Amino acid sequence: MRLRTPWFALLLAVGVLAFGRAAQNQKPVTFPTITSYALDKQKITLPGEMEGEIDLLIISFEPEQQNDVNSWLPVAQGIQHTNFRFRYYELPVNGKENFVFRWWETSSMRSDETDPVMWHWIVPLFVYRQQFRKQLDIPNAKLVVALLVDRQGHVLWRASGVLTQDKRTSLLAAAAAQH
Amino acid sequence: MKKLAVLLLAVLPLGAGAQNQPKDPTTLRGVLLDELRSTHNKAEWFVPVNTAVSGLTAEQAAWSPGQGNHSVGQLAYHLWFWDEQSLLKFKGEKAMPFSGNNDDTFNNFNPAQWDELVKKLDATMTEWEKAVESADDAKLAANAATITRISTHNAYHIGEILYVRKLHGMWDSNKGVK
Repeated sequence: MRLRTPWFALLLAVGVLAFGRAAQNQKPVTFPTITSYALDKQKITLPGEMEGEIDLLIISFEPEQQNDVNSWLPVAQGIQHTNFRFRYYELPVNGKENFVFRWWETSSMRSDETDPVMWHWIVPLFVYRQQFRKQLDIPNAKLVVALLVDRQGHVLWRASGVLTQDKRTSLLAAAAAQH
Repeated sequence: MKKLAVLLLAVLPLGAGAQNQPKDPTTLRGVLLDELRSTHNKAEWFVPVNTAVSGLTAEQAAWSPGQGNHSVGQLAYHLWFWDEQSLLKFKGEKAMPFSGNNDDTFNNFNPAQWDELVKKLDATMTEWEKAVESADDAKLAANAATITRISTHNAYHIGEILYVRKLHGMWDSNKGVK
């Protein structure tokens, strides 16, 4: 087949690149092993020590995203009432910081979340943010990300942004498939 | 001899008392029933739900401490909803419609139906106990983890109900939990 115009060749190249990218996106994503402390000061290594056999991890990158995080909680609580092997964690992601910053940040989070029962389920992460996002195939820090993950770190389902009816239905189906 | 008789007289009531003590359950069915009843209508060291929701008007049941905390009515509705939903599943019957939003299981409480809700909660717990009594061993074993968590879930929210009632000044400590 002869390529008649450079435009056609360009389109073909873009198509090949897009296909390659799509194939790359389909490769299995695994949650990296990270040790941190929940707001109740309990040490936890994710994902191996997560309390659920499958867990919803609600990842945020900015304090302003808390409302979007909160939008996921009622559906997570709903699943928790039907699947006792399911838990959910909030993971606010910060950069690698010194001890004083970490102390300040976690103290601030404790004062924001006034229900101590919830502290066990909020695990601030202090990581190289870009590397963390790359490991989980998260393109940017503009949206919260919800991941359904098993204890081996396999990401079984994912969505980003505020919860919508479609995402709720999709999550319920994904969680039911694991039940 | 006289001393021995006195000693026997002193010890006998203790023996009789020990015989009257309720025996701890030794089977899975017995343990599960014990747990269900302790959160339904058999007072243990904490208050069962029948006592926790009794003696309130609809208006009192709808009172909330504010700041997003639930009212007694909302907590009772939440308990009834999940207890009934899990019972239907256990019996292999069609589940009630559920949006997937756990907030609905609190917010769908209607104060106008408070008295009916109290009866429904009691009936559902009674049905659960009957279902556990009559289930075959295999079904019971397969569902034991769920049933025991129903009891802990009940106990958790009963604690909340009492806390709200105490905040509202609507709890008679003579009923338990000083």
